[in-house]
Amino acid sequence: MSAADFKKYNTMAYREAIEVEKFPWVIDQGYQKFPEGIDTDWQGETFRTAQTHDYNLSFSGGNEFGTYLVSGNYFGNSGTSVGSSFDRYSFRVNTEGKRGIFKIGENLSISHGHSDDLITNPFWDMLRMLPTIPVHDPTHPGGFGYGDEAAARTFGVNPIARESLEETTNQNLRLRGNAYAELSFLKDVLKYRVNAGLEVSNENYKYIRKVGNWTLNQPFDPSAVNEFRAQYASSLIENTIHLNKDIGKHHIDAVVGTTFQRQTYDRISGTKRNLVEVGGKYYDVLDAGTTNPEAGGFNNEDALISYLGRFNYSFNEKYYLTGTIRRDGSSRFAKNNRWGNFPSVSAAWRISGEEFFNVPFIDDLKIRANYGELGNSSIGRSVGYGGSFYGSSIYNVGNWDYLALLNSSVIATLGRDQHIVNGATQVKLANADLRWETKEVVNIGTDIALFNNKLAFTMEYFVATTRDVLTAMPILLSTGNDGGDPFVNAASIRNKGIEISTTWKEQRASGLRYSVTANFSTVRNEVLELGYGNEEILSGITKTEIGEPIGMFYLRKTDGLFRSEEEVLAHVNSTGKVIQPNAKPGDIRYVDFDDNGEINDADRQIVGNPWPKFDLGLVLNLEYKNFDLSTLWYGSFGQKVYNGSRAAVERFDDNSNYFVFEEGSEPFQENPNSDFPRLLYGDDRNSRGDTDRWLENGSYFRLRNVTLGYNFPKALAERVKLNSARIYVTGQNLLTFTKYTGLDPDFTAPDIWRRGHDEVRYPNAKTFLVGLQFNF
Amino acid sequence: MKSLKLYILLILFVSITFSCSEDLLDIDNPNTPTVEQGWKTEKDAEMGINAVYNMFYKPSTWTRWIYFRYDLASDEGHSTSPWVELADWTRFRYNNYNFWDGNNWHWRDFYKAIFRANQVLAYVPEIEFANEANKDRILAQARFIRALYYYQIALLWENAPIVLEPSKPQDEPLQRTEAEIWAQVEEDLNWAKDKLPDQWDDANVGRATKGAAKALLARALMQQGKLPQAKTELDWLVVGEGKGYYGLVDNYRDNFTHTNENNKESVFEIQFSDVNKGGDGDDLTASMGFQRTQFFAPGGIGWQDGKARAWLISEYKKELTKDGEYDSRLLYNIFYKQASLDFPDAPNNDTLVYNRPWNKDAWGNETFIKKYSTYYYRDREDYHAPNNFRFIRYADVLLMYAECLNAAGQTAEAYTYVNMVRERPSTNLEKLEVAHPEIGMDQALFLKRLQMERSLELCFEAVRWGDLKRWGLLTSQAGIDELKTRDIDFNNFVLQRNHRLPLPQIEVDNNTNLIQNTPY
Repeated sequence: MSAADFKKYNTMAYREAIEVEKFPWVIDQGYQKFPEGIDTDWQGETFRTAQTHDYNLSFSGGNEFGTYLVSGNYFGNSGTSVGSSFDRYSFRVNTEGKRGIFKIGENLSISHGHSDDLITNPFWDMLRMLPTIPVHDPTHPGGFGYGDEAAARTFGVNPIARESLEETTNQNLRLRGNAYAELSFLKDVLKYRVNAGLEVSNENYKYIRKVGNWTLNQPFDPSAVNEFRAQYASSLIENTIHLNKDIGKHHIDAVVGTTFQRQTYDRISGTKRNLVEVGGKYYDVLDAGTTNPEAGGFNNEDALISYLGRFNYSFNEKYYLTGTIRRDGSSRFAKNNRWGNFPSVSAAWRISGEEFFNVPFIDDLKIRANYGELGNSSIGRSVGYGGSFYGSSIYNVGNWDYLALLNSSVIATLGRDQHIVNGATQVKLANADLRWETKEVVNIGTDIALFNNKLAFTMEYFVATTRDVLTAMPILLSTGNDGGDPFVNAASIRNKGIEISTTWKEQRASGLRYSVTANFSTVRNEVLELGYGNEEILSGITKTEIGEPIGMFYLRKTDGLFRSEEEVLAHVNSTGKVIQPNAKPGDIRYVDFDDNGEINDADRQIVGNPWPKFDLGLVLNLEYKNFDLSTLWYGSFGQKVYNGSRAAVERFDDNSNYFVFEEGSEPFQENPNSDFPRLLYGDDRNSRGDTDRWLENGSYFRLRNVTLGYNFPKALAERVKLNSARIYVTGQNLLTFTKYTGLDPDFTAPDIWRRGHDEVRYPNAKTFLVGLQFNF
Repeated sequence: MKSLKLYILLILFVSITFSCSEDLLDIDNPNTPTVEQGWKTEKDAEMGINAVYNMFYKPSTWTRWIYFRYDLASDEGHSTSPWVELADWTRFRYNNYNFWDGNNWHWRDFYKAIFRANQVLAYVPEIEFANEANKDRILAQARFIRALYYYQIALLWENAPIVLEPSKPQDEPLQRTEAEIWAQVEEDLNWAKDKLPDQWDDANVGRATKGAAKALLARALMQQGKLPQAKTELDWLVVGEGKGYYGLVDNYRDNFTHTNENNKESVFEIQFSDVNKGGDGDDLTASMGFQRTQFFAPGGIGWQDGKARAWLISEYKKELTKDGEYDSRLLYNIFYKQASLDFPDAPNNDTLVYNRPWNKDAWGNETFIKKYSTYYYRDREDYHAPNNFRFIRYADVLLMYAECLNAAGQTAEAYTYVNMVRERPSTNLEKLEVAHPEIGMDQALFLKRLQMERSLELCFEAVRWGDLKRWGLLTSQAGIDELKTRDIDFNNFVLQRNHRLPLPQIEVDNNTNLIQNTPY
């Protein structure tokens, strides 16, 4: 919103508090004294169009004795908001050689990354900074603008200040490789394979704090540097025996084997404060810190052993039978819960292969059924900092969550000399009986191909039951637990649903080739059981109950606005008590759910379901002569979303930036026919976060990817000594159809309990990529 | 046949050579011992009790927010913080019962401290000590601190769980009544008071003493209206064996600086230190400093989130000292505009504001809380002020004693103790009977005056809220009317409701045994 509009609406909200409600504390404070001539567009200041560069070079070749592949890659992204960027170089070599019954090979990759990471959530900060605050203000320590008691009463963080005064960089060198050997016996019927893998990743994280402030009323912090060096290592050894045999129309293949995986993560860190500074330049190595040296370090380790066996049998490509058994042991559980057995069986019948089957337009018809169990011991918590490089999966280390640990770093000061004494106590609670999370899936389905395989159709009905979901679950504050909710087997959840996929593909005589694939799925989610034997669990704005979908919205229900004094007086409970006696026209009318004549937390009720009614995917591919076009659409429909950004911005009780009012929905003071409540500073009756006012239809349909390519004519390519050449443009997330007013309807939920809570995380960026590809 | 042999050979090869030893899954945590491994030695017990003291260094306890509950919500102070919700919680406008800084954080950390005390009380009895008395001292300290936190819980929320065993994640403790919580406080302190030493050696000063336990017990008894029993406990400190350990320091200000700590006026003192500059976590770098000074200091220095009510100034000015000057407690308790005029002879920088003259533009006629500020040795504040918080000081004990005596009809004796406070050399007021001859032996008048005497002596020391509650001012219309004349925030006060806080809503939601305080 522009500064002029901001001043107008802010004054409107203050006037209501001072002149209508006569709040003494707002009268004391008076109206905000806006500075002249400042009109900051925080969104414009914070965000930018990022550039991505991605270069690949690869060589491959081989003959009957071996194959090789060598490739190099550079990827760089300048980041869509200030203070973020990312570069990565990587090399890869794969080779394989054969001699007689032996085959050996290896894959090796090395990558080096460097990133400048975000400290803040700029999306959040952008919403809270007022347009009347300048980006820079030389009178403040550090030289950046932020809130002011008289002119801009806000504790919003200036994202540009924070990203300038704090720097986070991370460097990472990762080596990943595996080597394998295979021995074949009996004309390849029997194979023995051993595979050894190793991944080592070295991290170097550095944080620098320069002197200066980014928010109102910030205590002085000296400059500081914090660095850590860490090493992640994962080793894997797999031994497997493979059997592969055809006997007449019978086909058998089977695998038995063991795998052992061990992960370690070790870190040391150091911090010092009051860096040497000369003329505004900070010396930022640890030696340049002059006070408060601190050091730290820890080691993590876990191991996983698996025994596995798989058996496939088929007869005449008509009958299929598969059985699998895994026995997994994880060091992340106590001894008695360490091992889990996870079997699965599946069978399929190709009806179209039977003699009696004779439907000319059906090319293939198969029905299948499957029952399977899978275990998960990944107590998912990212400990390392490498998340921005490779995704956080490799750093999930929650190795001793089943153990109640002592914290021996607790201190106190005692004695006449006020010396430090050490303490030790349990701070975080633990569940000793953590066990494997098991996903059990039963599905039946059919695959059909029709009209000379032009039309393919797949339908599946599934019941997936995830038992003992391993995650953190809120526990009572009266336990005194700190350091995060302990991990627990928090819930058993059943997802029942149908998935349908249809593909039509065709080649026209004109040379046009195209295919269309549509996927449809619908899932019904139900909680079967909750951790600690609970019947229900409330978490922020949601409630999870046995028998219901997880994370249902549990909020106060609104019922439009009061348009007149009469309507205020007419809003009574069953005994005739006026429910909101202090309300004025323009205030929100709340539903007195418990009919006690008051609005309080007992009036919360289930007001929305965060689960989509159905999901839809659409893939279109077109090829014509040298051109090709592919598009990928995806959509989710029918879910409710809690719009965290609106809840933060469309409040006038406290100062934040505001969204521009759309025509017809100006505030009540300006337009008494509008549904936007009366602006009122210093009182949250029209600004509460725990109401259904912030729920929106989260349905969306998005063009996730579109690529248009052109292959240069072979003759042209060969003239410049190329095998082939191709140019293409790719766009991601270019089009989204949605009524959702938040940043991105396809957001990441904060945890499983709050699936529909859009907390304004980093949204999916719109990207546009031009690529060139040459093959020599 | 040949192939069969090969099969067997291979299977043997794999199963023997490559099957993993299950011991590979036995990975001990190399970073920290488990609870099971701990609590074995005297040193473990010592560290266990030290960790209980650590809970004083949390924003929710005695470094920061507690003063918003006890000083700012009371008629002595108020808040005009731009953080509207923070200020709302000092003026009885509780819109969100889960407000972390005003409600849930107190609750969580009081129980966190209780959890630590419960660990000591559960595990230390099993440890073998060379000297059993040392074990008892540790257990008694744990009981003392546990009682101290249950005291806050009874005062703030009234109906809350009592947890006496180390917590388990699935615990859903029962709700108990205020009376039951007070009974628990009494039980712990009665156990502790005889096991705690009268005094600690220099290395252990700051730990709970017998006198601290008795004074805290007296406070708890008085809150329940059991004044005769309270007097019995206080006897030890005022007229009994403990008397020799205590006295009033000559200079009132010495109670609030870091230069004269743990003096004879200190009955129980929270030890703050500025050596660490870290945060509020459970780690070695955590700050152990006093933080409220940063919150209360005038704008431009601190955040003026908490201010003094101006009536205190006029109340101080109603009486002059024996030398015809203003009561110097005004100078040490409040920053206000006229200070330099009212105290022209004040030494060094006492009439300045952190070495600055009064900033008329920024501060106008505001009145800021000065008690415990560190203006006397520096010109700024931070999160690490070194001056100890005097949790119970002897002046408070004397005034409590006077209150008990007066209630028992021994008003004449009660004068003695009020006068000790009034006649402290730096305060130097006339005896109460001289200054206020109209009181005489009228118990009601005496109590009313004592209420003011307590505020003038003890304002901004986190006792006022409990005092108001004990005197029934928070539970009667007359009381609220009186408070409204001093603090307009009491216009928002709803009788039978705001004398206690709403329970954290998330606890009510997730503990099937807990019912929200009515009529919240």
